[in-house]
Amino acid sequence: MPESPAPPKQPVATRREKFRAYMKNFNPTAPARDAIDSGLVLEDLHNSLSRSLAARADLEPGSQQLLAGGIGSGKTTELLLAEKSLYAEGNTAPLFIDITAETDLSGLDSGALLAAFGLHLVRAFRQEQLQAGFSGEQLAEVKKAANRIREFSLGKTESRWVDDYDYYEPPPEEEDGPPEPGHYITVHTPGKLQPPFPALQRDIQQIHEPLEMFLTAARKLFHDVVVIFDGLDRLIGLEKFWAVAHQDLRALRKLQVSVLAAAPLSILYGAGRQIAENFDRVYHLQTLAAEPEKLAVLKSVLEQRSVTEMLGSQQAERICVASGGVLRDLITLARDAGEEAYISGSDQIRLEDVEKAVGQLGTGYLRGLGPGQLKALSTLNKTGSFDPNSSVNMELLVTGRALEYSSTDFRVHPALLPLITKPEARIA
Amino acid sequence: MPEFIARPAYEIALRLEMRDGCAWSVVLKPEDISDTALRDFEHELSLHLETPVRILDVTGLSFVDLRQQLHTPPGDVVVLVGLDDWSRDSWTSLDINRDGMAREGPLIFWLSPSGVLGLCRHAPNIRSFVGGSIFPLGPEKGVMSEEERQRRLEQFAGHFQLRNEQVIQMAEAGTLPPEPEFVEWLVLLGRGDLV
Repeated sequence: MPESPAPPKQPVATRREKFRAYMKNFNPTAPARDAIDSGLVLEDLHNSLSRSLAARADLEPGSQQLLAGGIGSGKTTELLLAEKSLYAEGNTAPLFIDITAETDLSGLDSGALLAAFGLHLVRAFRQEQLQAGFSGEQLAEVKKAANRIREFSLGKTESRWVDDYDYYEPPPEEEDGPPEPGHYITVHTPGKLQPPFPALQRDIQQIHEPLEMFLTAARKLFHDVVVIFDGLDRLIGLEKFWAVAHQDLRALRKLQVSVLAAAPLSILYGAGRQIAENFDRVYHLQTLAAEPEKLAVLKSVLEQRSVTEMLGSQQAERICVASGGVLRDLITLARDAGEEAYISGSDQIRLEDVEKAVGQLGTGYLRGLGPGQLKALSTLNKTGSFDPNSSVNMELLVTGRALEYSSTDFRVHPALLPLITKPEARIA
Repeated sequence: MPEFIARPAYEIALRLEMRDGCAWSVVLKPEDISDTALRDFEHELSLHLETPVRILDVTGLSFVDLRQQLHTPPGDVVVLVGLDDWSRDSWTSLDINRDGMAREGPLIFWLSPSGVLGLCRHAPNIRSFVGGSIFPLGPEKGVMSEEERQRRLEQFAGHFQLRNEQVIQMAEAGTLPPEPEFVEWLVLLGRGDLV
């Protein structure tokens, strides 16, 4: 291995601290909740969208709203802000559930959303100490209901007696009753949060009663319960999304629980529209404008993270334009440009650092593109023509290589654009 | 286009040191790199960061097990290996569960060109987290010796009956088949920009 030089030492410690502080503010993979709590998020970026979501969920019990958007567009942040609004109102108990934290989403099936909701409800019940208003007898019933929810969610293992006249085996002596031939077997019933997840309508009916008992208790303190499901947008295939959501959301509507959920972008187009009709409202979290003359919003996102000292105006504008208005890309570019400046020994972020970061991001988008996709992007760039209903184009939208600014304005991601116009880009 | 990194572990260590945790990146390594190279990378990275680096082989792990291992402990540096031969379904499944892999410490995907293609084609949510942090190991100055590189290039030339210049010309003309072997060939020629 080649010998590496020692990392930079004093007097660069101050420089290092300065860069570290900058990088801390630009972490594209930091949990969205942390970014909100640290005051790094501009809360009114999408025209009070989170407040609209929260208000409807609060005012219309049982309503179901979806938030669809591209990868890195800020869906989780908006859902968390909606949760914050609901808390601030004080009348509603919002339950935020990142379903990817609960289970293996790829094996998710009908019943899993209800299972996760049930577990969170039981947890909230304990935390809020709603038990205070219950008699001992009622609490025993509630405990039974909690057990049923846990079994539904996590599964159960029990011993069952199996008659077996062919191979007689007397039961233990201390048991009462006449000896019968047979033996015990251990039966495990899988829970809804462990794969595999059989889709059984009967199971969903079974969970209705214990859930209702907890909801009644919760409604003694709050007007209503709102459940917020994050992570469902990962189910890019509509069939899978609908298989997971259909029965569970119907059951939640019956329970008068309002639902906010992230949804895949594909729900806005083609066959997705039919599924969208099952919801009271589907919001599209659109890509923010990134034309040089409309950069105020994106620049304000950077300013919220206090970068003026490290990042000059020209560099910031270039980052905004190259991000295409995709929030995660904006943060990624700002971070990577800072990283390049630090590694190159500069005290400030220069345009060449920004360009290097843009090139890296663009290359990331370029990798893996096939000839069909390159052709579609090339056509989009040359003619502006783009049919989001075609499978190739839908994939380009979902993967963020093509961006939608309005129903008639689609464009190639600006970091990718210069690379697809090069002849060598024709290879995957 | 990103340049090859002459001192991969050192540069990646510098970047990780600056980032605020939860940092995801990819090291793009040649297709048939030796285990020793991985150990060297781990050792060097560990020296620069002054913290242990854990290699986690995903071969045969269920997602539940993978998640559990990523979080035990959650804050160390993990290099994920064993993803190069993954199918579309495997990548899609991992992609759906991306947030389940989120952890405090840095996560490095140790991938060959075919592994990177799999990630970029079938795992858009993971790719979004990785962003532009795909760092190719330099064949000349990196973990593969010049002798190893030449031997590998000769193997390709003999097998496909093509010269290096022809492969570059075909890539530039867009006529090079997208098989992983050709991708590796380009990388070994220092033309990773054509991938």
